[in-house]
Amino acid sequence: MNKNYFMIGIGMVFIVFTIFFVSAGCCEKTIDGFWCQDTTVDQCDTGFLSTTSCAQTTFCTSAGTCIDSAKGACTENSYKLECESGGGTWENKYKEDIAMCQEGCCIIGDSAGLRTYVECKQLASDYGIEINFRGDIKDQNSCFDLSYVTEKGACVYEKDYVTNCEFITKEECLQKQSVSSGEGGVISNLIGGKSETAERATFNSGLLCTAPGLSDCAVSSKTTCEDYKVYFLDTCYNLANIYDSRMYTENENQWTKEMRDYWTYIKEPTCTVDGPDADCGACEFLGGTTCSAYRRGEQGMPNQKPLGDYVCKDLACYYDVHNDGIKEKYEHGESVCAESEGTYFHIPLVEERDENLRKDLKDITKYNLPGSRYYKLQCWNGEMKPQPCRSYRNEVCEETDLGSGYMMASCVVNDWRGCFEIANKEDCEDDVVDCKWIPGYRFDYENFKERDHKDEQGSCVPLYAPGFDFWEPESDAHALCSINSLVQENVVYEQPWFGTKRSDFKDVDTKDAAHRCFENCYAIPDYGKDLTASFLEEFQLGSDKLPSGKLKNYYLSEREGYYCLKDRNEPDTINNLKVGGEAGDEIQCASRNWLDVDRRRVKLFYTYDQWLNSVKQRAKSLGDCGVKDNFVETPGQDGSELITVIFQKLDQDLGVKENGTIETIWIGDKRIDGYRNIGGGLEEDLDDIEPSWEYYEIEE
Amino acid sequence: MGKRGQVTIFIIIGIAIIAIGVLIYAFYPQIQSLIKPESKNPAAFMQSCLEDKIEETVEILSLQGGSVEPEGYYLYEGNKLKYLCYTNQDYQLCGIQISFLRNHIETEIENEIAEEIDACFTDLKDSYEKQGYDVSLTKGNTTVELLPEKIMTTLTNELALTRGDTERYETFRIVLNNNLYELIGIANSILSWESNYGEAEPLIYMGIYPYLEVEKFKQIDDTKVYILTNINTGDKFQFASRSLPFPPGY
Repeated sequence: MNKNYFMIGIGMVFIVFTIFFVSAGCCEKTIDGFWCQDTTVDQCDTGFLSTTSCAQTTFCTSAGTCIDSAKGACTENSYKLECESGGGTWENKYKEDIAMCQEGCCIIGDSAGLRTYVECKQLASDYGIEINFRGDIKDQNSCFDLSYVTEKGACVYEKDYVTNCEFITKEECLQKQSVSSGEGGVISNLIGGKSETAERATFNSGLLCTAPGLSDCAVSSKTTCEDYKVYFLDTCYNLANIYDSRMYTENENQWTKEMRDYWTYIKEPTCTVDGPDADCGACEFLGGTTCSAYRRGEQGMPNQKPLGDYVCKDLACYYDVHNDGIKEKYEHGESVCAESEGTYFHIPLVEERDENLRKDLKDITKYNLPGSRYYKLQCWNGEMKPQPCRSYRNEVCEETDLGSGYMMASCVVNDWRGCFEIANKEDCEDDVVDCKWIPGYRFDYENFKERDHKDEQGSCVPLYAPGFDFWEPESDAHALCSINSLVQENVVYEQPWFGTKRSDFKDVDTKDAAHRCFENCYAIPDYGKDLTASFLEEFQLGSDKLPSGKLKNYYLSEREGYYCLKDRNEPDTINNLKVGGEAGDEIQCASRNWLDVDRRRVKLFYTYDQWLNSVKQRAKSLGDCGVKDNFVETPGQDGSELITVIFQKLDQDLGVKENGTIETIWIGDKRIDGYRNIGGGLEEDLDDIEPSWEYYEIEE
Repeated sequence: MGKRGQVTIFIIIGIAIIAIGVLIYAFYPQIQSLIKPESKNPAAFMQSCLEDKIEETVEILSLQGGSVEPEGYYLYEGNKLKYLCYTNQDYQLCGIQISFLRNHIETEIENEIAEEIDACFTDLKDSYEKQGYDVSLTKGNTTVELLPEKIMTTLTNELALTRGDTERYETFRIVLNNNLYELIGIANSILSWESNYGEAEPLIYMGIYPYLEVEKFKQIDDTKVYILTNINTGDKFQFASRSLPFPPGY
């Protein structure tokens, strides 16, 4: 076979294989049973359309409304295919733009809800009542307010020659009269099964059954729960007005006109409830009280016994949020951030923060640890319920005091991804973003050398380190962890003319190495020890101020940051530099080329500690990569946080002549003692080598 | 103990058994109808025969997002919660997976109780035939309707009982008190928020409807499990939604 044909064949097979197994597109229905998902062909059950996303199709866009004309139901954001498969009609319009889908307030009996006209008509028909549809009312609250506005009163009727009274609506009262003539609704006839024989019914609007002269129903101290409030009951078990202990007495002589009126007319309560109450039944659910059977000593109960069996119970919660053994009180509806392990407790809203928050959150060993998650605690109905925020710390819990210590918490999106777009300190630490600035390396590896770029020399990282699923083989975490957490650094230092075998390196201590260093000296362990970074910055940028004592006592290079250009006409880049050398009391460039231009530069770091802390802060702030101890203090994998070194043989032009092996000098927080004794490096003479390079990397 | 003592005990036990039997017979008409269906009340027989099955089906549906055998579900505490709104794409809003949830649930109940309906009618027929009736039964349609505070199942099977006179029954209605209608209304509203904004706030609903408890549990893959409970009746409806998911990483 011709070799070219064979290769083409192989290529075709590969292409077909790739299309079949790798193609992604819109699938009508997946094998898992989901409608209209963008997926690969192997996950598709029916109707795979390759190369097109669902949003671009007509049959799988969700930007439409599905209409059930018979029942008047409308569902927005439906897929056309799914809609039509269920017998609906799909329209590429918003619900608000379709006349049939306009909702109004549908009142059925004493309940109300938002429905379309057709839905309301159907419901009214089911209940055998006239449709009561208010198309002008569009919001749920206003509609809900109409639920109980139906006029009620004392319905007096005779049954089997006995006068009865019921506290009901006018409509129900009239129905009582008509029941005997068989005009009841479908359900009341078939299901209710009551066979009344009322001959005539009189509706007394606004009166109670205990009104004088209406019936034998009399006042009583009995109470019941209705609509979350406590109501008086008369002796016929009809509802009266809201319970108010001042409006009832066993002593006939103590009854006042106000009390008699309260048992005659429908009246608004004159008492109010603010907490557990045994005297007033005007409980307010949203205000934190509700009707409940009285159980002495139970949480939320008043101390005293009520007249009847029911009281307004306090719905507050008692919960030990601070884990100090003391239960604090939280009002019904109040919410607070939980103190879950490994998170930062009680983060205030953006506008209420002070600088301490950022300062605290820089402690990467204490907050936002792997596995930790933010939770909101919601007090409702006397119970404190935890509501988890998004996992992987994609949300954090923030809270604020709405006044008088009433707290409100919410899960807020942690926009950590946005931090990487910010490239200067001012924007990074703006109050409106949850990021922090780590001076040092930039994500684009650019290295500004001028002082006025100092606030751009660093990385903007998340204030709340996100979580990654680093344990999953296909996870994005690996790329994120390896790219953003890997640091390479080159240290240039001069070797002595004698004793320059690789094996002799063990005898050169880090102080000597520091003295001989030209470039990126901060990567030499102990560099700048006993000196501050700010002091060294001034010193190395030309200050006359020297450290007290002899310079050679410090882990310090006098020549750090001093350069010459190889070619003065070329840009000031690393490829165009030569490092300086000592000549008497002067620092000169190694080549001593009279064309050289000497200069000093702003350095990324001035001490070893500063460098190491910055690298570790940056790496650990980027997210969970399996290194950090997790929120239950299980140690991370130290082995992936390490510093390795490689010795390379360089020529005079700094080109690599020969590579050595990589040696680990630092794992986690521990320096490997005697690392310089590790064999395997370059063993031959390095007599002609000056300077040499070290290569460091840190992985998180 | 003497023989007279033993006899006394047996008499007391006998009287107690008879008394219990009389009480059950007198106060539990449903038990009566199970033992012996009343000729005048085949509707009560059907209600009694079917309500357990309907109740059981409704419970399963309520715990599984409205489907008996859900496709596309999230396994939550042993229950297969149907995703009623779903996207597999990060940062995307979900699309509704069942446009008319109420219709869907009604159909699910109809399908699930179909066999039981036939069995109940067969039992009813046998029972009357044993009592000497000539029974004519014509199969009709089954309609399940979710209505406020109840679920109504309407059977249009025609039943004619003849023993001298002929009694005809054309419609049977089985009613189950349940708040699924209201819970589905809330679920639809939550789904509208999910599909438009990616999330719904439970407190909004609980503030308007004090009888309602809405719980939202965010899962590790950003699936949200919603559990709606009527705290007065204990009726529950739970489902899953995945909208605007954020991945771990980018």
